[in-house]
Amino acid sequence: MQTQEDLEPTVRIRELKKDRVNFVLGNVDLAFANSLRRVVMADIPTVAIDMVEIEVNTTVLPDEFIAHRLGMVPLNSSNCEEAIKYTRDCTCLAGCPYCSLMLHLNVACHDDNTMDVTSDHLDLVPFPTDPEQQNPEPGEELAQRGELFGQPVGKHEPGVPPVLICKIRKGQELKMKCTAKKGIAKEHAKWSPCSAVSFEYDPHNKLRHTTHWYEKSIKEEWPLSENALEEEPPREDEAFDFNAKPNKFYFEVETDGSLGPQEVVMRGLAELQTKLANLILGLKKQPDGEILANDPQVNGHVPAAEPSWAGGGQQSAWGAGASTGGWPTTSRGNASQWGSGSDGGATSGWARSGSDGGATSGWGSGSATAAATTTGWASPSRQTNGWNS
Amino acid sequence: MYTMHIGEQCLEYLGDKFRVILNLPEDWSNAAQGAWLLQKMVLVHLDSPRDKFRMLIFMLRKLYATVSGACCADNPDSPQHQEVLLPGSLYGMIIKERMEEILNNIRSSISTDVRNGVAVDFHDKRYFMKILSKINFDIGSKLSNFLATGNLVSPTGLDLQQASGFTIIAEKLNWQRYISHFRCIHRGAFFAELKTTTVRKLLPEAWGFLCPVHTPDGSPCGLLNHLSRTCRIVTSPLSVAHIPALLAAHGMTQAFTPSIDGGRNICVQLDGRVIGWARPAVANQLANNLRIWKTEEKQEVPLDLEIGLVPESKGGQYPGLFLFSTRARMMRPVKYLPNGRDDQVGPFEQVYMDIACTPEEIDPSICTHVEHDPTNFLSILANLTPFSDFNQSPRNIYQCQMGKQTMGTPSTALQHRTDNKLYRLQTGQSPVVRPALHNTYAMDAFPNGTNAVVAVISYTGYDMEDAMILNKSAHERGFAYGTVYKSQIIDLKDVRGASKSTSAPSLHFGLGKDIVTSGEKTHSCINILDGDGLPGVGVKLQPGDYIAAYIDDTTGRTKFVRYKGDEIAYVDQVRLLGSDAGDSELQKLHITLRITRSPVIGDKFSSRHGQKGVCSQKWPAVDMPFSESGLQPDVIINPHAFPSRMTIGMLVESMAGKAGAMHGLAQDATPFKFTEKDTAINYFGEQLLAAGYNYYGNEPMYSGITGQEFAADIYLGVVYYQRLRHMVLDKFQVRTTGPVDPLTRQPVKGRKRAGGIRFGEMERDALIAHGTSFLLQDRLMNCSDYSTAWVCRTCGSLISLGYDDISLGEMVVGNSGSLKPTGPGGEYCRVCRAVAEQQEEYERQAMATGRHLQRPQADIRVAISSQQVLRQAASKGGDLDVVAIPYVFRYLCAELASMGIAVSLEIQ
Repeated sequence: MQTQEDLEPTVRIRELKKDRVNFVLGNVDLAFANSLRRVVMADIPTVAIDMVEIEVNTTVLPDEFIAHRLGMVPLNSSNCEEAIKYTRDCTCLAGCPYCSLMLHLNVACHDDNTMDVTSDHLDLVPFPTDPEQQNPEPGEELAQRGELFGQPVGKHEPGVPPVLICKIRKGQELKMKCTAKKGIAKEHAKWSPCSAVSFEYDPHNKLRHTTHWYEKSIKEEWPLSENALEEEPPREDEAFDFNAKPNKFYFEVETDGSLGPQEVVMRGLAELQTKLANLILGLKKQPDGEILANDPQVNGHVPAAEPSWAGGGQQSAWGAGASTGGWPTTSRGNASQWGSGSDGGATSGWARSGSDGGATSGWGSGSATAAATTTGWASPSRQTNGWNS
Repeated sequence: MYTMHIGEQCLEYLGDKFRVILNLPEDWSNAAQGAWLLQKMVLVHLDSPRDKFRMLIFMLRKLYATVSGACCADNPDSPQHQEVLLPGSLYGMIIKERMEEILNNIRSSISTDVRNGVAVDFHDKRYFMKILSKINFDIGSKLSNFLATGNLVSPTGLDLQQASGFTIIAEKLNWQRYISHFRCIHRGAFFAELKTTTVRKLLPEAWGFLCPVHTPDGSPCGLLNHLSRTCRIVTSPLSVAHIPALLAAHGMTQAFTPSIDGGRNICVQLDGRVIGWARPAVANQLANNLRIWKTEEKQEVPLDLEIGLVPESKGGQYPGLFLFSTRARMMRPVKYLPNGRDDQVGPFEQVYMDIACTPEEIDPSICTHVEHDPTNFLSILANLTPFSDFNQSPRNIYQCQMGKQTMGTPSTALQHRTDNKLYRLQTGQSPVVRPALHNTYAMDAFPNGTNAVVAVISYTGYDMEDAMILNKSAHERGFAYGTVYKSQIIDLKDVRGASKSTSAPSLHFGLGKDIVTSGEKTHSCINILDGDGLPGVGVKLQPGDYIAAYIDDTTGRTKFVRYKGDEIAYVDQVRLLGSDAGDSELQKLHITLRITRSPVIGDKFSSRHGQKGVCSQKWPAVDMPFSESGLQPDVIINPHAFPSRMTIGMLVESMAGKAGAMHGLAQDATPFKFTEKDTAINYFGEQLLAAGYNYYGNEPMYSGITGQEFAADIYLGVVYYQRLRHMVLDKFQVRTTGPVDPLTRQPVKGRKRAGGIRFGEMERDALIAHGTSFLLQDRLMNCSDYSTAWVCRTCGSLISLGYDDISLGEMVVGNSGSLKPTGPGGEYCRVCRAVAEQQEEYERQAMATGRHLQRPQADIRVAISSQQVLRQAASKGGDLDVVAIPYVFRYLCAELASMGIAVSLEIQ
């Protein structure tokens, strides 16, 4: 009989909607589950408006306030990983079509009624290239972009209310050029694809990690969460198992629309793998100084050609789920890519078997040590990224 | 004595005695002067001498009753006996006095003319015109001076207890502060200095008129009060001329009745005038009649008439029926039970009335009135505190303070305001939990804070001692983002080089030809200024940047005005100020600057329950604790903030806010709505339970860092948070080296001058107690006024240093042939050398007695290299040492020397 640790990780999708996914992650360590939560919240790149050049602003709101509001508008960022570069990694000086997007906002009110300036007024335009400047080396990025890439979420989509930016009255005008860039939520919350990540384990408190304070009756004062139906309620005569560990985690990832929920989770897993790979790479004894020189960024992804980990590239490493070989070009719900999805115990979605490919050396076998050190190693990177600024 | 038998004689007597100081026309008779004296000086509120006489007699009776103990003295500190000094009456008095002064001036100038024999023709219009033209008729300047300074310049003092501090600036920091300025009442500067605290006491008589909560703590506590919400002040006179007749018709004995039994009747007065007498039972009936008439608008009795029936008592207040109709009285509305109508009651009568607080409390055998609302006794601000009945009372006082310091919405027309400084919260919200009066006062138009998800948990330790942790993501999404608007006025008239003539100014805004506007040598001002010399709207200004440019006609050069602040600012508006006709050249600018103040570590926040705290960290969202639904707190506060402060209202607000947010309700937080039977906890607990939360607002939470559930469940809810205007950016003070005081060479003080913070006596005591002497030395000496000084080993003097002009390694030979001892740079002690030389001279003369050897007195000084000197120098006068001393010590020695005190240091 197998112990729990030997079981393979499972994922069961309970609900998948356009903007949210609800799944149960099983047979993983608490640290792993929390790492996934953290990565999903903070490390997935999206695009958001980062710089605003204001030409006319005769509204009642000050420039920087409108700029801030524009930054909060979610932009469609599916396949952000490949469709756009970080400006810091780009060869251009200040911005080019490969690392930036240009959106124009040009609204004036000639009506007697108050007019709402919304995200629907943001127009994606081709990024202007400076003819004098030397063209940056052309990349694959533009080809990887979907049709809607960089558009405000919900634009021209019936039934989706746009994001209100400002209200203007007759004679007022707003004209600005916005540059959107790629970034992660560690840097600024506007780059977070998630609005909330709900996370729960042990709904019956069998592990006694917490205590439920009550005045009269614990049953009346503490309503059970919906996830409690998934687990058996504890029996009165059951002895307390102090060795038990949480192994079933109830997630709900809700996105702001910039990325689809499945892309968020898949990206999150990939990002987590990349991080662990970098960690292992860093721990490995360096054969020569060459790799050392190539490894200055703790957080950035290692180029796929890097020989020292996981025989294949990234894509082969994280699972059979992405059988199409590349990222889906749109983020909109496409449950078929998720394997058998919501119909119960099947685990083929992105659960990787232990024997799956070269990635085993990456983190499969070393999961105990790697998982244990995840949080510990996260903190130095926090500082390098200027978290405390 | 007793030679005066008739009134005329008395008046003559008075006139005779007082005419010296009355300063009335000399041709007035003594009787006329006496009558004037009585009319203007005695009981001035009464016109007829007969009324004055009756009043004096009444006063005498009351005095006797007080002395005999039959009644007690009235308390002057009680609002029962007070009325309000209104600005209007003060302005009126000032204007009246000024006009009186003008009339006196006219009179005196005519009388001087008469005395000097100038041709005075009272039938000549031109003469009067001439006289009037000499007199200064300016009333406005006196009044505007009064309004600007608050100083009362008056020969009489207007019978007021203070001469200054009458005006304050109505600060528009936010709406709450602004409205408070117009509803506050100060007891007077005189009482602020008083040692006794009796005047500051909150008396039960103040109920419903002055708010018991809304008073500052600290020095003006209890002296600066605020009117209760419904309290109003009567500002127009009432028509009461028919009241005496009305009362007489209903049983009052009129005042002129020949015989009245004073022991059985009580006095009836209207506005301090005796109008009659009545038996107590009759007086009671009269009072009831009047009240019914005034509430039902019958018999033309005005509603604002105050009917103070003081019943007979043993040793209580002197009884009587006192009616008041004058202005400046406080009145407040209550419901009159017999007819269910609105009644206005004043502080004098309220003491003897039975007013129930709530309809449930009415005891039909006692109560005559009931409050319209049990919260009416609170001021507007105190009413805006949610669930204030759950809080410990000082916390509500603190909230009234902090509500007025909040960065909120001062005005909805900020575009058109030119205030010197304005604070604005950009991301204000309507509170989820609000008292009903929030809507009455339309506070949604002036938001004062933000709804924040607050977790009460001791997390990371950065929430110790009232610090609070802010969620970094919440901060990045605009939580409590504020802006400061500042003004800068540029007037070319005041600039150096401006011509004095008003017709043709010599300075003009604009850029001259000497400014290169394009090409390689473009002037740096082009980024900020336009061709007209004015800054562009929306331009970013660094400290010291140009803010405007003008051309000087005399030199033909362009000069600049700089931005004086020390923060980055944006030009919000540029106003061109001109004359009313709009035909003069632009000489004056008003520039509104916008300074963004995103919350930073060290900024002050507070809930609406006197719970203030300072932001200590902006914590990354992933590391924040979270609830099962993925909810993360915007703010983390420490549970220790509650036990000693007992702000249960905040806990209730947290629950109510959470339930309100879940169900989409604006929760009513009016105080006194819940009872012991129907508790707030149960009401909101049921709502929370319906939303799937724990009944008491707790939630199990997970550590954001490890993902593990916390051992305890966490109180999590939604609380409205205010951002206070105290911000570190205005307060931080830092210095390494910097300016020093030229006299003491110690660092200067003051944040503006880049000064230091005083390391004072008590700080010194602490370091001594810790035994950290090296640190003490460092603070007080090395980092302050460290200096080295020459000190004479012989006499110990610090200030007798002299120099011989020699180069290094040389010595001086004096006229005596002996070597003069010096330090390496030629330093010597002037005192000791003088003593030594004199000693030497004496010895020499003693030896030379008889030999008459006289050395030449010419002072020959030769500098010889010390290597070629064989003999040791004489020890006296050159034995100097270098010591490290605080520079002020040398200053002290010099000061003491000027008083003839020598300070001597012993060198070892």
